[in-house]
Amino acid sequence: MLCQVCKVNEATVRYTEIINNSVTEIHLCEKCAQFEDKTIGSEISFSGMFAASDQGDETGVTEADAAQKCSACGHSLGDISTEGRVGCAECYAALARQLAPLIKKVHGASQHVGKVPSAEGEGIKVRTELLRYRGQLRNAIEVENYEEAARLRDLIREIEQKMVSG
Amino acid sequence: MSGLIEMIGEKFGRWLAADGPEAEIVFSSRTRLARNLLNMIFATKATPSEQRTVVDIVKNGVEKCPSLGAFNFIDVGTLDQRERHFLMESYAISREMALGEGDKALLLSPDHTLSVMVNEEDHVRIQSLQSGLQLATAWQRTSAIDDELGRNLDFAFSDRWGFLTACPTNVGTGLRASVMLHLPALIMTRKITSVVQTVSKFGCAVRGLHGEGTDRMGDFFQVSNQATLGQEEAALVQSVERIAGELIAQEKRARQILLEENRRQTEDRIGRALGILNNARILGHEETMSLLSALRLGICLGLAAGYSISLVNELMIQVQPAHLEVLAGRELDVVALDSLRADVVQKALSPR
Repeated sequence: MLCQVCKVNEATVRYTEIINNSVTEIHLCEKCAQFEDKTIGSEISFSGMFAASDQGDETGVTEADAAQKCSACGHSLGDISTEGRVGCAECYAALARQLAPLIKKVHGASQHVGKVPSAEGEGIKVRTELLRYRGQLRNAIEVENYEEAARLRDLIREIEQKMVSG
Repeated sequence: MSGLIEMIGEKFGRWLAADGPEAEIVFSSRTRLARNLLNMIFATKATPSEQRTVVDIVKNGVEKCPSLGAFNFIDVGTLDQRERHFLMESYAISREMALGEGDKALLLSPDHTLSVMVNEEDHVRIQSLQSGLQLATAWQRTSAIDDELGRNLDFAFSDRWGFLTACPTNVGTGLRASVMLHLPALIMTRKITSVVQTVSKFGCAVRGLHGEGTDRMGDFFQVSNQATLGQEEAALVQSVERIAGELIAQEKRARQILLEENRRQTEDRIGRALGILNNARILGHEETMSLLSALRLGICLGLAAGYSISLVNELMIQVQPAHLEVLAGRELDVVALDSLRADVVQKALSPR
């Protein structure tokens, strides 16, 4: 997308301006951003990301999609687009298919790694570990690192056996 | 209103002491975790009674956490506009919480370095503030509270998406790690755009003095991670630490240039700032921040003897509107605010 001021360079800086409760998003190139005496930011906001862009972005959604609602709280994809927020935890499951490409776009990833709730204990930790090792196993096979692949395969087998025996 | 001061413990947060590493350039380090309770509708869609329920559930959970015992509980929902702004100005609550409606609460450690916000954008937001570049310490303290709270509360979580947050931009770790940097030399040597480029390359965002949607006042920039999903918490913290290190180095180089190639102009800016700060009878907020920025730079360059960074840090907080109104004990119009501000500045800068 081109800079909204000079219309020459690629816009790499996006910042949000809030004046008297109205929010405007402005896209600038670095040069023009320099002359703007405002917040220099690369704000990524989730709202408005659902609008299908001119280039036929893969994240654009159909009208049918936009109307789809979360069964638990009634929040629709259209609501998420306007507010930039989901209504409840269930929205992530109910609207997973539509949210996935957008989450991937914002974070560059679609699988959580890191902390798990203390209350959940070992269960989730193990499942996340397994997912990670299986991914690594696939990669090892792809690059023909069979030694590594064998090590991972054994590790996975060990964990699975532990899960079964409880 | 004085009740609020009693409620929040110390007058100035411990993190303003400017004793952390690189405190001359790094104003503060902050880590923030977003969490939501299982089976409860998210904060912005909740009815008043649902909000109250969340506050009660969290309060009960907090009572079972020994390390949160000394924290002060503040029922933010019952505070008036000015009191909320006071808390926001102290960095105890976010802008979002200060401006929001409904039942909200804050748990604040006596020295203001740790806090738990209830019913901000998410049900629970855990935050740690440290002086200087101390992201690792801030993260470790935040995580410890998360562990303890997590044993007594059920947080919404999925294997795939991680911790579920109101805004999908926070999903996964729910972790925002940020540093507030003072970069006057980069601005004066017109190198600030390269700062933005570098920061974006590292996957970080740049904001103003009070975070999202605020102006870049007083030559301060807040740098934080963009993504929260797909990397472990320690990796996210490290990435912000790395970018902070890079910016600190650039700012130091720029300060060297100021001393070597623009000494007289730099001395002039600082001299004028001291002159106005010490003699003006009326001081506007934005102007004061600009002058304090020059003073802060002056102290670091050895061109402003007799002042300390921690003094400037405290002044930055004190000259804000709600703080001045609390001091005066009443609402003030712009003229009165600007007059009191000049008095406060001069009192603080006068030799002890």
